[in-house]
Amino acid sequence: MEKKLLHLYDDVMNLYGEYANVAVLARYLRDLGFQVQVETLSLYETKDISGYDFYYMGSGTERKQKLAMTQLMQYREALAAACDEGKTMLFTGNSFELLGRTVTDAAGNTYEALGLADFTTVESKRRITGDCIMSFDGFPEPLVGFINKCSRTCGVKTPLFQTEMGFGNEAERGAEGFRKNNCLGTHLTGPILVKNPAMLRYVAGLLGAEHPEQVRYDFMEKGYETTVSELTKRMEAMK
Amino acid sequence: MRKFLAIIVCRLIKFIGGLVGKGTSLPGKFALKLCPDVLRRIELPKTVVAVTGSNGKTSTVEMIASVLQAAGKTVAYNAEGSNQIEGVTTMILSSCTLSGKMKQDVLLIESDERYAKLTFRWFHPTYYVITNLYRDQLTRNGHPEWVFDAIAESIHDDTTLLLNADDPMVSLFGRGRDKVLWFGLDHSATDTDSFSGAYNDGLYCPVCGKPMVYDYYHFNHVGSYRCTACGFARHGTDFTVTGIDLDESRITVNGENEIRLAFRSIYNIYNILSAYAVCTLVGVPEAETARRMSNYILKNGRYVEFTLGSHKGTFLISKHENSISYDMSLKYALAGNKPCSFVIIVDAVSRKYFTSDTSWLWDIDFGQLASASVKNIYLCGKYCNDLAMRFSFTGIPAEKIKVFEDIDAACAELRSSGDEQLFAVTCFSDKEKFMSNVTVK
Repeated sequence: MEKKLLHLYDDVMNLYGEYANVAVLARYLRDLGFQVQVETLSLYETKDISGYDFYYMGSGTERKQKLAMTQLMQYREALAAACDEGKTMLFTGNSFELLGRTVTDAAGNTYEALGLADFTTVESKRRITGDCIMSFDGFPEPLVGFINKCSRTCGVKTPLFQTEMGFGNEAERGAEGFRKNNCLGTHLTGPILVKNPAMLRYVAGLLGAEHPEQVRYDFMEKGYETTVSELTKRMEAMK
Repeated sequence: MRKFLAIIVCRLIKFIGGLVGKGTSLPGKFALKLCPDVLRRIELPKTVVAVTGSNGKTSTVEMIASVLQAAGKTVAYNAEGSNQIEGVTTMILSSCTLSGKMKQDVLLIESDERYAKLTFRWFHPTYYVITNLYRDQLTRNGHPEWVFDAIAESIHDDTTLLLNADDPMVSLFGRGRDKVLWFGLDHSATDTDSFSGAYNDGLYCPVCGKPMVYDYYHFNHVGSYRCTACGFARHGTDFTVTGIDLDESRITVNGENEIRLAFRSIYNIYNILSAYAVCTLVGVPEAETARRMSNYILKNGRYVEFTLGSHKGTFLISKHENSISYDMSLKYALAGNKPCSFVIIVDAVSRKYFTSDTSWLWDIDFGQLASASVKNIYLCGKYCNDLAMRFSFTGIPAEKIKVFEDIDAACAELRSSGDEQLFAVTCFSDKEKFMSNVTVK
């Protein structure tokens, strides 16, 4: 079976090594027996974005995020339709903010976003950075990662994760991210599908892999264990 | 009176701190508590030079100080690398008279990028060098544009900026500004027509967001660029490396002054060039500056020759969380084109703060090592598995990759086998864990 992956604005929304999310997912699906085709949409490119099985976008600087969102608005209906059809979508870092209604920058300018849900994001001049541990009802393993943002996202009624350590959508700890059907958004930055083998299996499951656990990458599993152990120690020390 | 007290307290704490081996920021911190505007009250030398940017600050400052001192000028500078306002305060209050007058010819400051605005609120540099803006320690710094905004707040109208014309983001500081001098490299044989790197921060114009094109690249996104829409482009230069001959280890500055390189890296050439610019502006003749910079060997231990068993090796400091620093080390190592092996260590991401984030490994162009001359690659330290995962996407055959969490065990294997050239690549935070296994002449 063929799976078509579309990496949105890989040329500008790739601030923390996020291209690795698409690379590892493509490898994983191939190893699970799928035919995989990866395509990208670059910043000023126009193309028909319907018919893909997976849509991904990573993080950018605040300015690049505004460039990306201005361009992305032409695909508003196509992406809303993909979400309604239950297509798998993953928006990480500040690209997740584009799923909401608006993003307001630190100077007070408000930009219209995709509007898949009614939440809004406001940026500030304060940077929020830190290692995170999150929990998710999709699998028992804790998620590890890093938050690197300058915004608060308010009004998410259907969050994705629960933050055990680190900053959530609006506050320290608390709810994090957004979910609607199989469209997942989180502020976690970087290659979260490499850092979290369980999340990689979960996303492959959404894409139709029946037994994703049949393929495991040793280095990835061990790397995850190291990070979980380091972050757990950190969390205990902070208590 | 408060000023006097601040100076006394600062020196007292520095003295005691020196006895117990404490850092250089604490004395300044106390002084600033006693007298918050003490820096404004000090009578500074006529010439104040500041250096900031992502990479090369310490090396550039060290070279400037060395040349100026050799040329007979007195210089006060923060050699110990405490580059936020507290460290700068310690240095200034330790270098002035008790009445608060600095008698040196030049005050030379390495300044942290994000906090420069706090220091230069109280006095303004005469010359302000901005070396480059790269992805550097993003877990603390956010990203280069965030740092750009912070530096912008530290720049005042009476300062002359010395800007790297080859770095698009740095050039942006000079837009619409009169008091700017530019430094950069002419087109040379080491340039490439196409981009190489794991990511490209030069794709879009920092002014208008439209695509940029490059005539050539010196490395990564550093080169000769212009916007296809708004006219933003690389500026002509006042201080220029007009010739590079890496085989002969020499460069030519401003068409006539030859400088011999102790370390053949294009990276180091930028540090030399900006230091050259500062020294000549401060009054050292160009020919003398070039002569004093020739074969200058940096004292800060970023490059060390060693032996391990039958291997001869070179240790190359590369900053963790700084992909361009790694790219440059790998490029330097591969330039010899001789059979070699690599030891790459990520054990503590930082020695100054906690993070377990290894996203930055994906920004490093490790694919460069997919070369027939590279025999083995030892991936070591706590994050060896993250490194191995990253390397599995480089096209380097898996049998060349050796993964050792234990750095000593990797060194033991190397000690007992092979005699090819070694390159050890890691950060200050992990340097000693490797160097304790090898012999340095």
